[in-house]
Formats: sequence, structure tokens, C-alpha cells
Amino acid sequence: MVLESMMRRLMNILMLSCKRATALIEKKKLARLSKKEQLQLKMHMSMCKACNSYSDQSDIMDKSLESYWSENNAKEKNTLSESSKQKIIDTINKS
Amino acid sequence: MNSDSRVTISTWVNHFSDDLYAWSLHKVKKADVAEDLVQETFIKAYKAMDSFQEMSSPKTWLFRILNNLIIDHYRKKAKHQTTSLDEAEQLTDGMFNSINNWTTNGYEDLWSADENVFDNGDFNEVFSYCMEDLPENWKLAVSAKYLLQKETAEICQELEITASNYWQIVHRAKLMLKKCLETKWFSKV
Repeated sequence: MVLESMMRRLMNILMLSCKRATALIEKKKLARLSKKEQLQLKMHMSMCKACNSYSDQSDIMDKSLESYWSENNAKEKNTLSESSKQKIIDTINKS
Repeated sequence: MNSDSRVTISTWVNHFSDDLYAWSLHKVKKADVAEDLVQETFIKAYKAMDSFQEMSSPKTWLFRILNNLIIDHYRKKAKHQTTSLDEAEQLTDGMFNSINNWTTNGYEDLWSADENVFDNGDFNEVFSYCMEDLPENWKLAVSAKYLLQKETAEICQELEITASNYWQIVHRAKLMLKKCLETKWFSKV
């Protein structure tokens, strides 16, 4: 009986929902996981295929975000019109 | 303000405004806003000319001013956001069942880590669309790392949120991005 209730408590501590597990996947990338969280996530990942997929997908999204904000990715060279440049100079000369 | 500063600024406008504008447009995606930010950059620079140290390059200095204005722009947008947060939260909650495990849609296996996908113009367009779809402060949260190029602690300071708030919003935002990419891209290619 004692063992059983201990087991149940242990399971409750170790078992994460997928929502919580994926939150920890994101947390891990930005902050430090506690020892307990590390263990919880490891346990969950060892048996959840969908969250392993999410983890890969999250990496793909990071790469996409990096490329989305990358300076090199501003493919076509956009330039400011001469009249816009003059407008800036005029604004400053008037101030 | 003396005429020397005015001459300097005019020279800088001619030298650097195209680069600043290209960068600004890339970051804010809207031509009129991008132009306003460039103009504001030069006005700020003109007013702060005394504090400009000759040792740093004017280009670096102008980009620093512009980047601060860009993040300010996103902060303001996040404060006055029009997209309903409730709706977005409902959408991401709906990706899980009553005990918070995944509800499957059959799309999750369609993701491929094809390296070339990031060079694919169509994919980038869909990704852009999905980014625009995020509530402003979610978009800001997932973008801050790339816009500010700083570590978590400093990002939280800039965004005035706690660390746990930060990764929780990033989690939500990435769930919403996942859903959008699956519906608009991975289920179609």
C-alpha cells in the first residue's frame, strides 16, 4: 500500500502533459530548466513521439525565424527615392 | 545646432539612407513606416550629434539608432494590438485535448527538415503570412532574439516581461506558427 501510493506520487511528478512538455522544450531554449523539469522532460520525451516531432518542428521554426529576420535575406535591394532623401534633409534644415 | 551638423547629416543621408532604408523595410515590412523610421533616425542623430564620438563609424551609430526605433515600433504595436488574444489562445489551446495531450490532425508527420525550404520563395511567403497572423506581442516575443541580438535576461528587460512570461508567450506563438504552417504549407506541398 505504501509502495503503491509512493509510486502514484512519483508518477504524478514525472508525468507531463504534452502541452507542458512542449512549453518546457521552449523554456529550455531560452532559460535554464530545474533538475525536476529536466527529469520530467526526459521521461516524457522517451515515450512521446508527437513531442519529439514538435521538438524537430520547433528547430525548423527557429531556422525560419532566423532567416525571416536575416539581413542577407533582404533579397532585392530597396532604395529610398531622391525626393524622400531630400525631404529628410529639408526636415532637418528647418528644425 | 550649427550648420556643420547640418552638412554632416546631409552627407550621411546621401551615403547611408539607402542601406538604412533597406534594413528598416526588411524589419518592418511596410514602406511608409520604414521611411518614417529612417527619417526619425536622422533627426535623432542630428539632435544627438554632440554625443557622437568620432571613433565609432557613423554607419554603425545610425544603425544602432535605427534598431532602437524598430524595437520601439514593435513595442508600441504590441501595446495597441488589435488581434484578439483570446482568439489566439483558444486556437492554441485547441491543439490539445482535455488532459492537455496533442490532438492530432494528420499534418504533423508532413514536416520535412528540407534544408532548401528556407531558400524557397513560396515557403518564405507563407511563413511571412503566418508571422503577420500572430498577435503583435507574440510576434514581438519570437522576434526579439533576432531583432535585439541579445540574451534572454536583456530581452526581458527590453520587453518589460518576466522570463517565464517570455518563454510562455514564445511557446504559444510557436504553436500558432506550427498550426498555420501545417495548414498553409505542409498539407499542400
